[in-house]
Amino acid sequence: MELEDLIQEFSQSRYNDLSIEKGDQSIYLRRGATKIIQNNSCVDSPSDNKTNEQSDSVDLSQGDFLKSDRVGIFSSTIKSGDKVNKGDKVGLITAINVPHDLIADQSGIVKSVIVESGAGVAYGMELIELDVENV
Amino acid sequence: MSRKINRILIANRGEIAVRIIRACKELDIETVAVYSTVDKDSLHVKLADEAICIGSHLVTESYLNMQNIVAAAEISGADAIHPGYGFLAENVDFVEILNACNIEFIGPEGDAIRRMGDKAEARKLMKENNVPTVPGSKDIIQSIEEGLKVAKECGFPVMVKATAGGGGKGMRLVHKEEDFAELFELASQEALAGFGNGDCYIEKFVVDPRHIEVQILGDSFGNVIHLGERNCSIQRRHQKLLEEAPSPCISEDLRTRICQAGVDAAKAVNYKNAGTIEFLVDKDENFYFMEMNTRLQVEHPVTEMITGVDLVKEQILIAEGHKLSYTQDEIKFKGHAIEFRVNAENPKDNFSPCPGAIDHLRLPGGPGVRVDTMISSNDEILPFYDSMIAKLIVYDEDRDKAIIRGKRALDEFVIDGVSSTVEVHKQILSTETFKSGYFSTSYMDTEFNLSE
Repeated sequence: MELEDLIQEFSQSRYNDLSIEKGDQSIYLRRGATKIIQNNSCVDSPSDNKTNEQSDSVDLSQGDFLKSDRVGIFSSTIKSGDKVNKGDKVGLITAINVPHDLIADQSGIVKSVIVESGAGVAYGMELIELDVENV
Repeated sequence: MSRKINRILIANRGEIAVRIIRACKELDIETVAVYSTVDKDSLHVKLADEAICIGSHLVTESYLNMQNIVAAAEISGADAIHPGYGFLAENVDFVEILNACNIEFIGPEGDAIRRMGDKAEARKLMKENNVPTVPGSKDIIQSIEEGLKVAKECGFPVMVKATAGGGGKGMRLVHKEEDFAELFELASQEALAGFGNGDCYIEKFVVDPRHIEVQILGDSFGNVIHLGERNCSIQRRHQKLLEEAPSPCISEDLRTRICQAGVDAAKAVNYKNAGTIEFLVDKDENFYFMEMNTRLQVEHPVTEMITGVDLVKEQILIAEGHKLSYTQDEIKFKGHAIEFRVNAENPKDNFSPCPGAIDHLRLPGGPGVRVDTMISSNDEILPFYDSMIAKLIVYDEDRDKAIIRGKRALDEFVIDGVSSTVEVHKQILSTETFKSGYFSTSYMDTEFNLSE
């Protein structure tokens, strides 16, 4: 079944959650998941003269931040003080009801999770601050 | 069943994103811009109520990235997406994803896009609805005798085309009946040698065609109206450079027939929203369906100038489920409009793109002058995107006066730092052929010589 068909079927069904695993692929759908927008919104306000530096960088691995590689709803699977290794899953970004793993592209100790779970995030946005010195 | 749109995401960049944002603001609809990392300082980002970065400078990762664009609509609460032109404007998959996500696509139904996008199906559909198509058929010709019969039915000259051909190979223009057998054989042999397949078909060759297109609007209630025609015969490398409305040098009879054919074509696919039907017109005013563009077009402003209709606002109202704001009788044509595409290109080097920094920009103004653009002084013209940086549209009560106004406005137009097509337009306006109003799509290649 095509992904769009699946989403349509799901949206018309009476279920709130749907999880499918097949081989190495998995899909998780949750009703209403993408409509959650919290105060620390995903959007840069253009009327705000301060440029949002979080979305400036083209190089996603630059600096001591783990950045969003897509647009969607963010949820963290780690917390301050956790040690992460390059390649670890550190969170999920859900787009069109499909969650995608956010993978650490560098190792370090989590200083802070900048974006609250449930908030929308833009491409390139800083999500997690790492201390990469003391690993 | 109308449904108010509160917030529109514009899945595009450049001047058209700015154009759409302006229409939204006048309709009191909130706007969400999306942008690539290199477009963060673009005008559409500054003018929109919200802006979301959707990917890198690569169009496949940003403006063509359906997943990020739909996700951007979801996290920003946009209930509709306007695709502009290009990028995802005629992408059936995109329309279907939006349907599944309950986000309104401001454009036609996916089915109309698909049917008009399939050349063979569109042609068949047009024939069934008595919209003239170029005589000939895509059927493979089995013998010289059969080919000659088809060629005579089409009327010479005809083009013999190999189904597998390309790049000019396996193609022969036949002017006279007595040359047919020899040239048909040549085309077939060339295709067999070059592509391993000698199958050929025959199509009438339209000599020195003019490109004339009809703007239509359709609503969800089956109403379709036309907003007259545009002449887009001034092209370089098969891309339009200058467009005008109404078309000069066509009879009222042709105007009536071609506009009706446009309406018939749209009705054949139950067309909803704004669309354009492109025709080739020969010197005897025979016209042939070329294709339908199932979207807003770059040159839509010339139609807006002579009708007073805001096409983008109409698109939004149609998408909300409203009936057309106008009946056919209420569409009144007044005056003449010309659009000049200002591209960051080097006309002396076959119009090759020439991105770079704009050191100084002065835009023209005054009565009857409209400039749709996203650029300003010190902007960088990026190499990743289309080279069109501005559209200058002039309007006056008749064509002669519009040409004078065009010259005046082009003289005011200063772009320092990058090469542009401004000078080319000035020269086009000064040629006798252009002033006469009669010119074919080969004008730029055969008649126009760029002077120093």
